[in-house]
Amino acid sequence: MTGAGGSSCAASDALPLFRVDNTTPTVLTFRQVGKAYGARPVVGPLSLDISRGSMTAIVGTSGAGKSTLLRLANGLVAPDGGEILFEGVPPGSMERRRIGFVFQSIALFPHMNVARNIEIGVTLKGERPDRALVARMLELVELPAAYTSRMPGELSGGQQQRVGIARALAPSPSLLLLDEPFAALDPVTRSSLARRVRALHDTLGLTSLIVTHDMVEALLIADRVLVMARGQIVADETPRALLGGAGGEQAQSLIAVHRDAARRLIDLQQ
Amino acid sequence: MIGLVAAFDGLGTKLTAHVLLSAAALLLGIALALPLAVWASRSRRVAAVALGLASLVQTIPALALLALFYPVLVNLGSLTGWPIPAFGFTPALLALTLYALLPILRNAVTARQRMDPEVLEAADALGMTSWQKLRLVEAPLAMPFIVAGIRTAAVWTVGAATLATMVGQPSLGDPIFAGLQIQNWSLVLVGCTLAAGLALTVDFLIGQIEAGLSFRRRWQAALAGLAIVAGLASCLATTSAASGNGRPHAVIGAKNFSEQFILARLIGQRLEAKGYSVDYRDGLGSSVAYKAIAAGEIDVYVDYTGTLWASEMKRTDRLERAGTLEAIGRWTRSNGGVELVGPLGFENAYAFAMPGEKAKALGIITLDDLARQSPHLVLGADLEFLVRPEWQAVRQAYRFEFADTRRFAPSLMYNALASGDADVISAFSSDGRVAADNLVVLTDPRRALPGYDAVLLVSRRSADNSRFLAAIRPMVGRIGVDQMRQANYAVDRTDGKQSPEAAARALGCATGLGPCLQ
Repeated sequence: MTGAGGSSCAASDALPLFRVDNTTPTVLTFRQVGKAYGARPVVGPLSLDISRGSMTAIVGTSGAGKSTLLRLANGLVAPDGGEILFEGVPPGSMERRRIGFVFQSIALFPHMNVARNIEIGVTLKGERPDRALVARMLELVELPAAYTSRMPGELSGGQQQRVGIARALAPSPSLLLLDEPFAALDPVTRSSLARRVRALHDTLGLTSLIVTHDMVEALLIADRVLVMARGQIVADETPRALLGGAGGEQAQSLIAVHRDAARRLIDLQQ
Repeated sequence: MIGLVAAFDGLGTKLTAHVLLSAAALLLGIALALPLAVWASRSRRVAAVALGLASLVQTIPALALLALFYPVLVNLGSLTGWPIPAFGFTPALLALTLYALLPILRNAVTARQRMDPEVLEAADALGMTSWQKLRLVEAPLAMPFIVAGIRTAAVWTVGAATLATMVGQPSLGDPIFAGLQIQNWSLVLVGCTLAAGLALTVDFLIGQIEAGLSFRRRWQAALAGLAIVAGLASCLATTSAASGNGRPHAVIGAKNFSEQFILARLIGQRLEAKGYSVDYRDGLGSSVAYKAIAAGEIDVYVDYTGTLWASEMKRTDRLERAGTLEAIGRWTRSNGGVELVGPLGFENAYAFAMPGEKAKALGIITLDDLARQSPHLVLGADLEFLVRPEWQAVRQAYRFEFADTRRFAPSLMYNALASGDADVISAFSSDGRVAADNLVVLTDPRRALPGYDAVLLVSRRSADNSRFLAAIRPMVGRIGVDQMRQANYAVDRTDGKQSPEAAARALGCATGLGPCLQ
């Protein structure tokens, strides 16, 4: 957090709990980044810029390298070659404290209650979480305040993922990474939580990178959609452009699946 | 029955010593296992090596492990020149610690391997350092498994600690092994019951901690922890209170048979009459006893010239009696400064004994006769005879070819003869059962078996103490073989059995070495 970031947050009194750094336009940069497991290339080499305030979706079939790309972004996976810069530096454990991460498997700490799960990231930054933090975070993810002292095992999958999102957001991250965050949830919970994430992104002024295999989800919540295939970015378009037919064969085939389904639903109705 | 009560007298101290030994081994085991588990969780190879070694240790019988530490510590002491105690608490502690290591280590490593990798990744994604991840995530998640491992280790340790008797560390094994030796089953039962009760208590208390941790009932875990701490504290308090009574103290050693128990008690009773407080180290292995006195870890014990000659001095030649005693005296003085005070007056030699009727029927009188018929006979021996140099000597002299050789605890050897499991046994000439069971001792025309005069040995420290020697010296030359046989039989017989204490008192009265009480 820079001094400039702090003062900009003081100026906006809509959400005083967040201090988002607006000083650099690019939060994350990949330059010719490649990663292979053994002889099998998984990602790249590819280059990519993520600009501040954007919500970018990475779409592709299983094994396209989406999750690895996300773990390269916060340093959980080290690149074989190229350079990754998060706010100007290669991401390590100190940088990760400013990068939120939401897991497909949720992965809450099973031995900590909801409050401790939410506070942990703030504590790791060396700050003392203020008393109202947990309550504010529960409100943001639309969970009742009474859940503070519940254990993760006592919550439903959707409730757990709301806590997972609260845990990622509590330390006011400069970048939020979401790895198939709704894949394990039922369709109703899924679409309501997806809308909630987009709303939070807008109100908190976040920079978000979301991995999904669901093109519709990507088109509905992202500003920018990257289509990945065999470790490469094969399309980089806005949702509107993709719907207009841009992005090439791979991207269009992902959309076609859903168009097909929608058409069949309409046919069935008639 | 008075003697029986006296035998139970020291049980409190045995129990206390047992608890403290087990607790020390367990704590040391935990202190070693946990860092090792952390290291193993960071490296697959370390995990494999550590678990492999710990499992290997587990396959060594506890008794052998204890016995192994003795020479290891002796050699380590002489190599480094450090005063490493090879006797008593230290070897027992080290062996039990190794035993306690495996269950804790295995549970900790398994707990870490089974941890949800995504949860561990979440810790990394939040920017935890390695230490924070260990403290905040890995340790608390592994804790219930580690406690379960500690629970298993505690039960094993409490059980195996009974074997500490063999290396001269007081424990609940003392009444068990002494009781087995003199066939006093109530002593065995009491020792076993106490050890089992202790194990069950520890199991229950640690189980409460385990349950408290897994069901998040802090008070339950805290209460059980408190009970354990209170138990240990009271044991420590009793021990330190008992050690500071101001009287001069003597430690009396005894090997693992009745005669040794009785003579140790007789020595003890004489020392107590001189104002000493005494401790007994019963059930010492034959080779342990001399090393213990040379190291000053016991003050006095009775050994036999033949044993010292062959096992300690490694000599195979034969001298006449006076020359043997003199040579041994010179040797003990230059090997640990041990003083040979003198012979007690009787011999406890190895002797081959057979039931009188069977010997007559087979026409066996001498060992030469026995050798001729040996291919059709089974030899019953005590636990160590068959590896002793005396056996090598006598076997070569007479060319024995027994159909089979079987080992028995010394007191059970005679039962084996009665039941027909053995035809001839390696008996002891001072044993009361030789006469009582109508056994004949076969003659040794080739004089292959050495003499076994019982001799008093005193450690360097006590040899300089005139008060101590005043209690010991009058025993020289005063105990005849018939008197010793009678005392041995009083302890070994099945009916009207006496405790070693009572037999020692009767022996003291009969020999004028103690008061005669009505």
